[in-house]
Formats: sequence, C-alpha cells, structure tokens
Amino acid sequence: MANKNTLKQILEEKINKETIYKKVIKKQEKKPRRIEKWILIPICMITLCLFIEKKETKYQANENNNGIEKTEKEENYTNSNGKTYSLQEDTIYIPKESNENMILPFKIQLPKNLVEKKNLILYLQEEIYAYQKIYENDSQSQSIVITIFLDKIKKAEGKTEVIQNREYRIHKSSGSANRSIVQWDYKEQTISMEITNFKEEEIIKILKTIGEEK
Amino acid sequence: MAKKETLKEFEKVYNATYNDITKYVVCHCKNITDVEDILQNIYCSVYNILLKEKMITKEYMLGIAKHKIKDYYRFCYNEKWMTLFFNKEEQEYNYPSSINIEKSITLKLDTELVWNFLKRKKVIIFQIFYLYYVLELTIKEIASLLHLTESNVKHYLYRTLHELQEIVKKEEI
Repeated sequence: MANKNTLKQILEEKINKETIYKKVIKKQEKKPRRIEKWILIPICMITLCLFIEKKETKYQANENNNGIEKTEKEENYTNSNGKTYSLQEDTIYIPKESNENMILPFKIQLPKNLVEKKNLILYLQEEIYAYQKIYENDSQSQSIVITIFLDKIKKAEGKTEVIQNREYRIHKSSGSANRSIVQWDYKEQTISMEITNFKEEEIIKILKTIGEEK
Repeated sequence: MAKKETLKEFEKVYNATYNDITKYVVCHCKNITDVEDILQNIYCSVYNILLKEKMITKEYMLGIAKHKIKDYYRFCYNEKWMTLFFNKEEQEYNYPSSINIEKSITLKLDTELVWNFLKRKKVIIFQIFYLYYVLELTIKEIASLLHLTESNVKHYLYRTLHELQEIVKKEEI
C-alpha cells in the first residue's frame, strides 16, 4: 500500500532528523578502539625494517685495491734467454712443454662484480697488457697463465671436484692452431688457464667464453 | 567528558544546528541520496570533537560540513542520475493555471513515487523542493542561496510539480 504524504512530509521522511541522530549514536557505540598515531608509526617502521631484504653480494669485497690481491713479496723468474722477470708470490709455474713455450703466471682475484663480464675483461686486460709488455722482446715467451679466483660462485655451486684439461681451441688468423688448457679447481676455487700464442683480442674471446659458461 | 555528558551536549548541538547544516548540505550536494550520508559524517565528526571536550561554534560546524562534503565527493563519482533534457537557459515557462502550490503542500502523495521521481531529476530541483517545502524559504531566498534568478526557481518548481501531477494521474489510472 502506497504511503501517502505531503511533499514536506516525504522530504522530511527521507532525510529524517531522528534517523540520522540514531545512526550517528549507533556508529559511535560500534566504533573500534583507535590506535594512536604515536604507536602506529613506530610499529610500521619496525615492520618495514624487518622485512627489508639486504642485498647479498656475490663476492666478498677485497679490502685491498678493488679486488686485486697483490703481495709484497715477489719471486723472480728467469726465462730461457736468461731474462729475469719479477713474479708475484704463490704463482703457479707451469714448466715448459715440448714446444718450449715459456709461461709467466700470475694470480689475480676477481673483482666484486664478476657477473659483469665487461669489467672482468677490462680488468684482465690491464694485466694482460702488463705482461705483454714483458714479453715484448721475448719471442719465446708467448703464453700467459691466468689464474682466477672464484669466491662465492663456486661455493654456491657446492662442487668440490676438479675438472681438468678442458680445452678450448681457437684458431688464429694466420692459420696456425693454438690451444688453451683450462683447469677448473673448485676446491681451491681457481681457474687456471694456459693460453699460448694468442693476441689480446683472442684472450678476451676465451675469457668471454668461460664467462658465458658460468 | 563522560559519555552521558557528551551525549547530552551532542543532542543540544544537533538540535541547534540541524536545520542550518542540512540547508548547507542540501545546497552543496551533488545528489539527493548523498545528503543523509554526508550529514551522518558531519555529526560523527562533531561527536568526536565533543569527546575531546572542545568547543563547537556555528562557523566551526560549517567548516566541518564543507570539508566533509569535499571528502565525500573526492572518492565518489559525481552524478548518479543524468537528465537528458533541461537547459539552464530556458524560455519563459507558462505556468499552467491548474498548478496550485498550496494544494501540493496538503496533497497526499506516494512517498516512494515522489522520491524516485526526484532522484531522477537534476539535483537542483531537489534542492529547491527541500528549501521550499521543508525549510520553508521564500523564492527570493532560494534564488540567492542557489545563485539563480527568481524566475529560474519558479520554472523549476512549477514545471516539476506539473510533471509530478502528470505522473500521479497516470498512477491513479
């Protein structure tokens, strides 16, 4: 049945003074306890701090000199011509092979950001330059050994076996074959690589290949 | 302040300010169905203020009303109902002789019918109706409040009553 009212009554009924009053009082009774701001803000900050993940660095930063471990003690190395080079401590000396390539080894520690191959190659490039200079006048010494320490990468992989004699064959532009022997030592966390008779660009190529394999 | 005291104070303030605040809200609302909600929000704030034992003046109330209206419409869409006709700039309306304003005050109408009808119209029509019938303002006062001319107010009022009359006749048939 239709509710018949005057216009005034209709409008008053729809926006009813008493109804609004009752609703307001009801809302106030049902109101939940308010947490004060001065409690809320510290709680939020503490919660945030707990859940912020710290960035894990893959490598431990070496305190000295961007990751390069250079010892003060140096050994001397004399090549077949009698020329003496100064070596870094605890370098691996690989003896002559049948082709009588002389090897001048050195060790470096990888910089923090190994995964950025560019940095690795640039870094190694400097070292290569240094040793290339030494070999400049030495026609017989045409190879270098680069031993790379891999810190956390290998630990994370959990491998302790030694993978030996992985060979990479790269042909020089002149046509003669060249060979590199790569030794992956997970225990010692090093990669030893013998590269014979390569130019700088080719060495970089090898390093890139190794980097990709990782 | 104890709860009972707050309640008494609130009732006092409510009764004293209801008409003025409703008038303000009606003039500034964008939809007739929002008026009740906005009024509730306003008076909830007033209650909270009274709980903190602060003084409330009329100007303060109007300030609260203004902010509550703004807040209400910040997150809601503006108009629930759109009218397809009715321009502001309108020609002079010929008031039919059958319209009797006084009679419409006493005439018994279907509540839901009228409310639904008003909901479909522009909000200004509801505003005029409310101010005229409930708050019993004059045409002149309504015109100044809503920033319209007196003839405009009369247009809205008479035309809507005419339409309402038509609808009521149809319903009776």
